[in-house]
Amino acid sequence: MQGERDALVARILQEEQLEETGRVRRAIASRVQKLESADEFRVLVKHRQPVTAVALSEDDSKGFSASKDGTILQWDVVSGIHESYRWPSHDVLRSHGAKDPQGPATRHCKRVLTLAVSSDGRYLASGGVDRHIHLWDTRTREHIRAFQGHGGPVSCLSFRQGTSELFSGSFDRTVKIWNAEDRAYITTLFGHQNEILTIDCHRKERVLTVGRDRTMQLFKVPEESRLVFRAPAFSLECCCFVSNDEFLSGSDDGSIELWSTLRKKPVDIVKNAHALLGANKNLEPKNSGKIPNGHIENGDCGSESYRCLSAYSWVNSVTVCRSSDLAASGAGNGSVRLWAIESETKDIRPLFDLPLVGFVNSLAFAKSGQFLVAGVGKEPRLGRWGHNESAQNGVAVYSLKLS
Amino acid sequence: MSTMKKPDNLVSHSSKTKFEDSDEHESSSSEYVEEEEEEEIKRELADATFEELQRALSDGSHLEYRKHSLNKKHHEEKKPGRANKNRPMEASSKKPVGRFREVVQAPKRVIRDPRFESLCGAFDAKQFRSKYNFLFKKYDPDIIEKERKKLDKSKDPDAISRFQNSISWMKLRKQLAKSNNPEVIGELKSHINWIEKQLKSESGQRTDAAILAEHKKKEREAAKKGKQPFYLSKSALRKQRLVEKYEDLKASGKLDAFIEKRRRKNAAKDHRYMPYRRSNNHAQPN
Repeated sequence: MQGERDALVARILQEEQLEETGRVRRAIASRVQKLESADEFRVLVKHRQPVTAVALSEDDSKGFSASKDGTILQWDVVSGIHESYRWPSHDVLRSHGAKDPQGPATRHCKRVLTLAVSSDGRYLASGGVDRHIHLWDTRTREHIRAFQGHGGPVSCLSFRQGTSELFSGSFDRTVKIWNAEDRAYITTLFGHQNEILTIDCHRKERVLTVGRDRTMQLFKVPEESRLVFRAPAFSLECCCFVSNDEFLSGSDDGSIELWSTLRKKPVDIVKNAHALLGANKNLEPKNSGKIPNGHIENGDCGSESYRCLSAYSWVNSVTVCRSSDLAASGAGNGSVRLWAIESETKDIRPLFDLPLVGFVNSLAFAKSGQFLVAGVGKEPRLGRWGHNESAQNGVAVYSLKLS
Repeated sequence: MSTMKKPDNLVSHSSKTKFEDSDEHESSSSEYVEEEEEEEIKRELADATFEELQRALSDGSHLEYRKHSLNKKHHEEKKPGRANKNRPMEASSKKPVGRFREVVQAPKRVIRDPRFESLCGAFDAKQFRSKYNFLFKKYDPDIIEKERKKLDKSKDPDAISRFQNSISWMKLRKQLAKSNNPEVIGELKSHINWIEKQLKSESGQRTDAAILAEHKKKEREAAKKGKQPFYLSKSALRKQRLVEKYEDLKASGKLDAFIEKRRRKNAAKDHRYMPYRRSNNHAQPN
């Protein structure tokens, strides 16, 4: 009796360990049930300006979101009660290591572009246009430290799971490694030839980044080398790890790609994943293709082929439920799409479309797979290439029904 | 304890410097002895000339102790290339990369000049002449008319193209007659002149190659009959060329004019060597 129970416990622990390290994948995708008409994204928290980043803690109870005006909110997933993180005064910031913003950057310097929360839930890191990485304590909501060193706006942040190592990517084409616990800068990684847009890291010391130079790079930090993956023609916007050897990315022509470390080109591509449908014609700008003096713009295409060339089709965010085969992608065309990553056939199978109006700038799955959180805004994350007035700036949550 | 290896010709065979043996004797007094021996070695080294030291170094024995560190370096520097060309490229993440990137992947245009391209083969004058003979044939309007009539009956596409190539310069003349634009006229005129010059140089005299070929044929036939074949020397070739030129001119009746021109030219050249007249104002001795 005792032996049996011990064996059972050992098995469960082993399974958990395998999942944690990413060697085994939970098959959640097949368990997701079809949505009913009543199921929808429910707005949890409202923001004044478009939400640029969303992060969830490991225990799925707390969430964090940041918007373009610099407000960072911490909210409870179930109730939606939120508290804001207050920016300290100029002097306090300086004492924490920040350098003065220079020139025209002073007006928008509080704009936050990215958030990351550590696995133990103690630290929250935010990065933005002011080129600093701000470290906050989640329990007291106080500002701890400001890391400076990047030459351009910090566009993406990621904590390494299980440690307090922080990876940051910025528009100055570098990835910097910091230690939140020791409040120290470790090193810089080079490799991209244009701005870095998204970064992701799991348990291993391997960093996945995606940039406007149409490449995706996997940095192997201990070996001081990087693997370069090239996208055929489009620029990549977002990326995430599926497992240690497989990655998912979204690009600016509305397609989603699945990559493997053994191939330099994508293993599978899903084209027109976020096509602009005919019903959404009101999203197109009124004077499409015509510049003010009446001439037609260069490279203008008719409204039929306008499907995936506008900012509404850029896949702004893609995410995968930890150590499982369920993925989600969001753009500005009005729906969040769920996908299943098949491990044997190595392809992406579409599951469902969840309607959500606005630019989905950030997505996060709960670790248990129970719900999906999306940061929505009227404008895309890094600029104002499109505007959707009917959207609502805020954080929306969708609970997944698993059989 | 210094364990330096010295070649035999350097080591002075004295009992004190046999320190290798003294290694085995580990006594308390040996320390003092060691120090003394070290001093001895230092003195000896100071006395040794550079040549001797160099010889000792070139022995290679001093490298033994550095071998280990060298090996390590080799292993670190060697980076294996990727196993398969479909694998992603691996590069260092510590070297900064520039902003330049290929915006449009245009295919590299390979320029192939047939004059220098090995694939086009070497130039063979005889083959060229035989293939492109149509360019150099003498153009007679009657012959052209006859050929044209033949063509209309044959309906062979290659023959048509060949015919057209051979009368391209006549077309150019027609174009010249039609056009009004002075630039076009100038261009066409120069083009026609160029073609006519080429035609002129090909017609008439035989080339050196033809003369050589004829000579070779003669020699081959003579060799069959048992005569020893001889190569045609340059002077003989020139002479033959001149002889043939004279024959041609005689046939066309221009020989006198040619000889007269030649004489005048030579006279003008010889004029330089003629002594010039001295004026009478200078006082002449005698």
